[in-house]
Amino acid sequence: MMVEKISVWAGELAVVDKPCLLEAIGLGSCIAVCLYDEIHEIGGLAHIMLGHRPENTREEINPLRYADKAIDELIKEMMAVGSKQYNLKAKIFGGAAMFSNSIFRIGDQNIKAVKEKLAEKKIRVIAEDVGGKKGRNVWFNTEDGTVVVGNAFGSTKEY
Amino acid sequence: MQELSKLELDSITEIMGIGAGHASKALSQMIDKRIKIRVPDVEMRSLEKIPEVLGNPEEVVVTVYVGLKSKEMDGHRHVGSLVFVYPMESAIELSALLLEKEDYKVDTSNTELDEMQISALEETSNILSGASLAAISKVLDVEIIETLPYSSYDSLGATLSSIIAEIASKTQKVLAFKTSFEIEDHRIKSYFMLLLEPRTLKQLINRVDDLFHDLLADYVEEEYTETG
Repeated sequence: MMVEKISVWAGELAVVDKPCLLEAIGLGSCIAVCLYDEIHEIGGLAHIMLGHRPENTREEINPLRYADKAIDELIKEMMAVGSKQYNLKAKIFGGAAMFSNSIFRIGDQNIKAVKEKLAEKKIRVIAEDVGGKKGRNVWFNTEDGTVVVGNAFGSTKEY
Repeated sequence: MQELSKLELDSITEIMGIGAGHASKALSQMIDKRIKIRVPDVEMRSLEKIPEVLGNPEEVVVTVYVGLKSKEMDGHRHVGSLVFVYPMESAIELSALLLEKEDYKVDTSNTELDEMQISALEETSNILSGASLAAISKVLDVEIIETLPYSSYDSLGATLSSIIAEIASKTQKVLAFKTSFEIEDHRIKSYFMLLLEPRTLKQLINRVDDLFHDLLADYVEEEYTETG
């Protein structure tokens, strides 16, 4: 049976309480934070772009871009459909440095911000594939919590 | 950020067109071929939507990034970025054309790119950005300096989203200027985008307004002299 597939783009998140494939395509320095509640079979994915919201910005900025705000919201939405925070386990993917230059540091900053936020929320990271130089695509199966990670050249690995 | 008026957008498009024209001329001289360049599209876009503009996020492309800085009294300030995107087939064919002159034979049936090919594309992007920026700097009377070119060989989505994340740490919207060129007798297509930060964009608009104001003043004066 084909399950429904939901694409989650940068600055978005999705939460489902049924078998579903949550997809994040084209992760470079961005990170896909996959949270899973095994007991209630509830899964959520946040596709974050940046670590922390910059100070003194006057513009109206989508808060889900940022690791801290997006993870707060992801947990909130998962709890709203019946999940318990202490059941949640995390798998994180992305945070690459696509250009061979040190001016591109967002990937590393994102990894750090995501890990700090998850630690603050006492959510354990049980699998990860972060950093490096290559982009990733992520497919999170909310039926069993497994995640398939692929690159642009066709190789894949399950976490 | 304020929306742009139609007149402002048109003027910016015009200036960018001059830049693109100079770039294509430089490339045409390098490879000795005629080049067709599209009239640029200029749009204010929210950052998350930029990858959609260029096509399929899963497509493998070579991307060359050039950072732009302006020289100011208190040092250099980052003002924007130039991004060149070469789809795989075009990257292979264009690098073969570029390397032909240096007696380096590229096997165009090979679907992977080697270091030489990627560095040829970096170099070309550098020349293209130099040519277009020189033209734009002259029109606008500002000095813009480029960083070295940096390349990535990966999916369009992963690459562009990373560039966007860098910019997004500072702003929500950018002025995205996009154009493409085609080379005669070859199926070579490439896109380039200029992304400007809000403060620079504001300077650009002010400068455009000034230029128009001057032009209009000249015109009125001429009319007066002729009839008087």
